[in-house]
Amino acid sequence: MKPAARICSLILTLLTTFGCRGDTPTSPTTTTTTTTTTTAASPIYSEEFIDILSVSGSVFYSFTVTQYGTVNISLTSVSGAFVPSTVTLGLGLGTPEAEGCSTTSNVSTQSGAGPQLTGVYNPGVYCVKVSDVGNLYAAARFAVTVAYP
Amino acid sequence: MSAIRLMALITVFAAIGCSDAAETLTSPTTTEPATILFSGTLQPRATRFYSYTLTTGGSVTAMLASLERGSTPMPNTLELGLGVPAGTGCAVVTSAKTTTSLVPQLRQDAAIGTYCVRISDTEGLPAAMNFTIRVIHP
Repeated sequence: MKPAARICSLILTLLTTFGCRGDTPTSPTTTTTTTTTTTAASPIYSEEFIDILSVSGSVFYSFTVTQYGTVNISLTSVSGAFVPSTVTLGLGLGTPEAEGCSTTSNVSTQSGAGPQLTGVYNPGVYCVKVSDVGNLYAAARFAVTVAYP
Repeated sequence: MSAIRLMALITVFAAIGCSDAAETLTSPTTTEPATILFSGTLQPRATRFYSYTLTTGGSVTAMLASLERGSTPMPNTLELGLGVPAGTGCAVVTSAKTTTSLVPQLRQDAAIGTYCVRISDTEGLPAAMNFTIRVIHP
């Protein structure tokens, strides 16, 4: 190899090895992790949802959570002709959507002191849905207590 | 080719090769308004509502786009409202009594959240009628 070609080869090698390094040296970074703990507020509002549930039907009730906190849903009573108070109904919690309530948390439960459904939610509009899961032979009167912050 | 010429050529290639100008031109982002069509049958003296969620704040408009009995357009007046789902209904914040129209009859500035549009017969329809409400939101 001629000397000129040697030089060129050397330059080419150096350029391809180091030439395209666009990195700028930076100082070591100190990462500080800040953990913010948001305390879930306890329920401060309470509403009672009393309605009639038809056979194979469902009804819902909307409420507004004003701050991050705990929402408690209690199916407190079920009654009616040919409706045992121990009948199991569907209880759901979600958000109002179109003409219904799109639930994200569901449980099949008998009435009781409850809460049968509980969770921690951000501020927003939510809904509780009561539905017949196939146990009703006649319309049922029910009461649901919704407690939220 | 002389060594100097070759070096110059290599330098040019290296300089071009190191360019960071790999930017791609992008179009400005525009958000098209979304349209909700809420259709149903309204019984005399009845109320119906429809809930929707805004993922972007902005202006919401609503109009009673059609009201028909069978396939005949009807001139009856209904109450149209925009509000927030509450209890077993829709708590309206703004409302208007209106007949069908092709222009917005209600407007509401709303933040991100869940809202509803409500239609009510407050004057007593002679029979059940089919309606369509058009809601346009960000």
